[in-house]
Parts: sequence; structure tokens; C-alpha cells
Amino acid sequence: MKTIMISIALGFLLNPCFAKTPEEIGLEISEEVVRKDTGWLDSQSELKMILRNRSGDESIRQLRMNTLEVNSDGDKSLTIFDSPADVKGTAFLSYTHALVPDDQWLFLPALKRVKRISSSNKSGPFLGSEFAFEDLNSFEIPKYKYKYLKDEALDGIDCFVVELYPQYEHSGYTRQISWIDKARYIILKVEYYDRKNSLLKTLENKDFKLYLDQFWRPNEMLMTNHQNGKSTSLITENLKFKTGLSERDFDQNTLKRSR
Amino acid sequence: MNYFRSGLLVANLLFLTRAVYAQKAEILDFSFDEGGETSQCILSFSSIPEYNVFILDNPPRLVIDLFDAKPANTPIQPPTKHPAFIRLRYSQRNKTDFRLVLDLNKPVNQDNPVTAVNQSENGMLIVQLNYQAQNTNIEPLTHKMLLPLKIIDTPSTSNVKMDLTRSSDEIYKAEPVPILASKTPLGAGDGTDTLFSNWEISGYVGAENLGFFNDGTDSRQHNNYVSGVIQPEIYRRWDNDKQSFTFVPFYRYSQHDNRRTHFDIRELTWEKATDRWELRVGFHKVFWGVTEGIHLVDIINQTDFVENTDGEDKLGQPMINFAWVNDLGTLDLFFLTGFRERTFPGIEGRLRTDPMIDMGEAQFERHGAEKHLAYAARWSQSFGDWDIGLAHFHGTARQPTIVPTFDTQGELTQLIPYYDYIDQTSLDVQVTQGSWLWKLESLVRLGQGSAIFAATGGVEYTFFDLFESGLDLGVVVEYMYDSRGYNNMTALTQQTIFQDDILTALRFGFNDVQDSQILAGVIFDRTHNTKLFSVEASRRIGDNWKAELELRLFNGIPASDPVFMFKDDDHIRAQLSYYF
Repeated sequence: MKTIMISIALGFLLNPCFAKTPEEIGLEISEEVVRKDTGWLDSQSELKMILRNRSGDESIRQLRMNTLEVNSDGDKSLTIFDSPADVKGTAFLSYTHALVPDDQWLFLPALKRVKRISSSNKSGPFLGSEFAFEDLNSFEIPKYKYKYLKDEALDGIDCFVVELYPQYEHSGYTRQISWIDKARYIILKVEYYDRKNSLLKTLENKDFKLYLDQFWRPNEMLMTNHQNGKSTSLITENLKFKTGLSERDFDQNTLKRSR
Repeated sequence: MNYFRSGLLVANLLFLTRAVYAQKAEILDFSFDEGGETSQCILSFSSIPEYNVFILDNPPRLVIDLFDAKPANTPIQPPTKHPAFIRLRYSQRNKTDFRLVLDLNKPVNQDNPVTAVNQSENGMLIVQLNYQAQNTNIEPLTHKMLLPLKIIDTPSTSNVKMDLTRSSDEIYKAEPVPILASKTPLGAGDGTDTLFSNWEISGYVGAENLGFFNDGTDSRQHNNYVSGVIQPEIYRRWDNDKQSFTFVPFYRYSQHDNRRTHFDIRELTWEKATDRWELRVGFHKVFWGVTEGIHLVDIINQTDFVENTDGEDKLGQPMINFAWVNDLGTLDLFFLTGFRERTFPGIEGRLRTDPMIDMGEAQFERHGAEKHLAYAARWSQSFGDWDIGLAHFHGTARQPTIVPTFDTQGELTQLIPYYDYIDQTSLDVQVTQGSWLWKLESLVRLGQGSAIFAATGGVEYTFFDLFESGLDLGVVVEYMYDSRGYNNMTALTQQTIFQDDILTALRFGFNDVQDSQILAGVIFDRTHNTKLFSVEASRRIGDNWKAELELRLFNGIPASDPVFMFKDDDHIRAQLSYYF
């Protein structure tokens, strides 16, 4: 029965005869992106962040991130910082939610202190990088309103171009324009427009790899800030899905033990 | 057309909200048929739930995730070794989802390892495993075995014949093996572990200069102190990260101050964590509390007062700590197995009383084992925006009473720390709402004179990404109350300097590549009109260096205030550290 429903939905989506508003099409495309990326259960990854300033000087951060897919709510994640050395052992626990504010805790290893922190920080930089906190949060449908703009080829790949309008508080953006691969329903590029509606940043997702024959993930996420000339690459060095993590791996006790 | 669209909308809604209304499916039976190149798991249900079946490699495991499902009965482990798998594990992944893991003892076919057939008409899910073709040395016999869900009350609804004749003594209850155990660490696993591999070494070395603007009250004190510090950390984890060992020695050498030159074992801990509990044995550090101005309820570790007067440096505490993790929160039980005395500056040191506190003459209310053993328990839980901790401590106080001795002229000649035997109950609460943090710490202490009540609380509000510059500006306002404070003598002897004080502070987080931070604040004493100014700043230099600066000024201290002893101790501390 469910299969039938999905095929109806797909047929509906792909059939241009139905008169749908750009908003409805945009929402449907985004729902399909989310649906296609459901069922990975959990992941463990090792990430490298390369921060580049205007003159090309690089600074590197090493982190590990565990994520748990949560049905009917935002994901849970635990991020552990390995470098720079002075923040080694600092860990960040986050329970994301679709519309209510996320729950976030920070573990400070020098004091052995777990600190509940405000999750209102959406637009601020993550670890001094060009990624804002909101750029790295899990993607949930109710967080945005959508509008389909056009079809366009990006580097020879047929894409839907969809505009997203953040609906949560404290976002640093008026809108985001996404290029979504029509065949795989993955986001290849995003342009971020700041509160004054001028182009702030561009995210390019590169070198996609297929995991478990189902989930596409970029090997590199390159964020370029057009206003300050800086850029940050987030490189996946190791990524595993379905590793058997449970809720217990995302509680404050685990946060305290993290290194 | 419209008809169709609304129908679709409803259908989509049904699809999306499945988890909300779905009945929890019961797993009634589970059997496993072994047959040479393929084998079958048959699960029968009250109604077929959503499922996800897949194979994990190294070692090969079959994982069956069932959403909105629970077993009808506690699963049990097969008594004998099965030809196809080593053991069966299961866990409740969260409140709704159930996971079964079979550790297979032979590799599966890489191309088509597993197929799941949904026979919803008879409530069964059949999972077929295909092995690697070359593996023909397995028993060809069809081996049927009833597995874990032995239904006692509910008759089996399955129409598959199963061996239900096994007597109860042939089966044993399996240890619920946490799914955590199946986690394959990204680092080296158990297979390549030896005692000498996988040690992680990190830590820092630092050079510090502590400079005072004025001469001390005692002519033996100095105006500038140079010191060096080293704190390496040696760490190893094994057993799929369930067990770890940590060793953190600490040493500071200080010019002039023989008490500040000291060695400590900050940590020497063996730790084991499971799905339901955690156990730590050894020297360890534990922090309780939420506020920024003073750390009132934090009592497990003794303060290393010579390191810093802010009370955030602690001595390692020998302990056995058992944490029981359950749906109602975490219950931490502490058995503290050795008392550590508070450190105080030496005769040539600064930031001390005059005369100095004579650590060598320290006295205790209890002696022997009673002095050394302490017990504590803390329950903590998060409810939405609320984080709550409720704790009790029973044992020798960490904060001594300072007992003065006078000569016949009435001159103060000696100050001796006296450690009472106390009972302390404390509560700490933080409510996090948007950019507001509401904080409260309070305690009741018995055994140190008359009953003591102390509390501190306030708010912290942060303006994030101010002017889209990435700058965070936090404003902290906290009030501190202590029932001992209104008697000056008590205040002196019990070092209760924050008895009716207000902290106002600004925290600047620049969120730059160097992680620059500034915390500037003033503590205003409402009784004595004393003001303590403090500025702390830090910044990373390159990848491995960090510079820290700390300025403390004691302003307008009347002789009646116990901090009068610090009236000449305005100072600036600079430390440059190398992290490795």
C-alpha cells in the first residue's frame, strides 16, 4: 500500500499536467530529498575542516561526529574536537528539532563541566569557520518555506533550482537558492543571501560517494564567503552508516566521557 | 482533479505521521533455519511493523531493525552453539524501535547477502541469508532451532511449526548485550589491540608570570613570581570504547612560593561504560553546578587554591563512582576514598592571609577512616528546557574553618585550617530559553557551626552574532547569598567572602580562527561596598600555542571585610602554553 502511495506521489511530482504552484513543487522536491535520505539510522564520521583566509593561509581543525537519525524529529549528534590541541576533548551534543529550539550541551574538558548552552546561535560561525551553525544542522522540512524557480543544468547535471526561506528564529539568511540533482535528489550547490538580501556565501558539495547503495554524501563541502573572501572546506575523511549507535550514545553521560 | 489532490494529501499525511498513531507491533516468535548456502530467519508479529534489514561486515552481522515494535517477552539466548551464528543480541534502540543483531560465524554473499520477504497475510517476516559460495564446509543438514522469544502466555499465531518442546532448563536468560558493543570504532578495534598500542598522549606545558602592583603586607612576600607548569594526559580506550584508562599528572614549579610548587595526580582513572551504567575507579575530577560567579555546590574535589583563587582548579579525588543511567535520569553514587587538604600559599607566596594559613597544623573533626571516607549521591536529569541536579554529600568538608590563635596581647599569631564533618544537600537548576539562561545553585550544610544556607543564581543573556560580525556578547548577572556572611568573625573563619554580593560580567566570544575570548566582571559586595574587578582573556596563537591574561583588582576594601587580606594583592597573571 505504501509503495503505491509513493508511486502516486512520484507520478504526481513528475507529471507536469497538474497545475501546481511553484511553492507546492518546491516543497515536493524538498520532501523527496528528505525521503531519499531516510533510513541511514546512524553514522560515524571523521572530518577535517580547512579554514582559508583572504591571503590563502590555512588553519586545520580535526573533528569526529556521530549522528543518530530520529524518526519524526530532528537528528541527534555528538561532535568531538581533536584539534587544535587546546580544544582537544571539547565535545558538543545537539538534539535538533524541526521548529522548537534545539537542545545543546557543551563539555569543557579542563573543568570537566557540562554546560547547557543556548541554541539561539544560528547565524554565528562554527569554530571560526565560514559555516554557520544553521548550515550544519540537520535538514527538516518545516524549517523552511519553499519555491521552485526553474530547471537548470549545473556542470552538465540536470537540476531543479529551489529557493528556501528559513522559518526558524535568528537565521542569518533571507533566502537560500539550492541546485538539486534531478536524478539523485541531492543538493549540489547552495547560495546564501544575508539579511540585507545580498549574496553572502556559496556552498559547493563535491565528489559525491554512494554509501550502502542508497545514500549520497559529498566528500567535500566548500563554503566560500563572497563578502570577506574567506572559505572553508569540510572534508569527510571517514564515514560509516548503520554502525549500531543508540540513544545512549547521545546522552550527557556519553558527552562527559567523550574524547 | 481536486478530489484526487485532497486524497493524495491525506495519503501523504498518513504516511508522514505513521509514527504518531501506529500501534506498537509485538514480536511473537523468532526462529532460525540453517540450510547450507542459505538460511532463513522467520519472525512472526501481531502486525508487521516497519523494518530495515541489513548486513554489517567485520565481523559479519545480520541486523534487523523493527520500528514501533517490541518483543512479547524477554528474549532468551539459544543454549548451544548454532552452526550459523555465534550469538544473538538485541536492544531497544529508543522508546519505539527494537534491534536484533546476529553475529554470524561465516561470511555472506557480497552481491546479494540478504532478502526480506514480507508475508503480511500471516504476520511473518522472512529474512533469507545467502552465504559465500565457496563456504561449503558447513553442515548441510537443515538445522532448525527456536530462538529467543519463548512465548509463555501468548499462544503462537504463527503457522510455521516450531520446536516448542525445549525444556526451560535448556534455555538460559541472556545478558542483555548492549548494541553499543556492536559499534565498530573508527580507530583500531580489539583485534589489533595490544597493551602497548593505541596510547594517546596530549597535554600542555606553560610558562607563567604573576606580577603584583603593590608590596605585600608581609615583607617576606615578593612582587613578581615566575613559574612553569606541565600537565600531560595519557589515555587509552579498548573494548570497543567501553573501557578506558586516563592518567593526568600535574606539576607546577613556582619561584619563591614553596607551597605553590606542587605535584598532583589530577586523574588516574579506569572507566567502564555499558548501556545502563558507568563505573569509574581511581583519581578523578567531577564538576557539579551551573553558575559562573562561584561554584557553590561543586564539592567532590578539593580546591587547588594555590593554582588560582577562582576555585576552578581542583585536586584529583580518589573515588569509586557508579552511575546508573535510566529513563528517570542519571543517579551517580560516589564512594570517596581519601581526603585531600586544601592548598594554601606558602610564607613567601601572595594572595594569602597574614599570618599565613598553617597547612601543617591542620585539624580534623574525625580521624582515621572516618576523616578519609566520604559518600555522595547526585541525581540529574533534563526535562526539555530544564536541567536539574539534586545531590547530597556526607563526609569531611572540603572548605575548612580557619581557626585563629591569639597571643596574650591579643595579637593574631596563627591561622589553622579545621575540617568539620558535614552533611550537605544541594540543588542546581538551569532553565535554557532562547538566548536566556536562568541559573540557580543552593545548599544547606549541617555540621559546620549552625546550619548554613547559601544560594547563588541569576541570568545570562547572549547577543549572538552581533552586527553580523560573528561576535557573541554575553551578559551575566548573579547574586550570591550566604547565611554566614553577616557575622564578620564567621566570615573570616569560614572564608565566606560572597555573602551578599552581585556579580556583573560581560563575556565576549569573537568566534575567530584564534578563538579569542574576554570575560570582564565586577563583584560588588553590598555589605562592605567592596568591588573586585576581574578580566580574563585568552587567544590561540598558531595551532599549538595559547596566551592567557588575567587581571584582578581589589578595590576599596574596608578592614571589616574578610577580603581585606587581599587589599594589596592587585595582580596580573600571564601564561603562555604549548599544547601537544
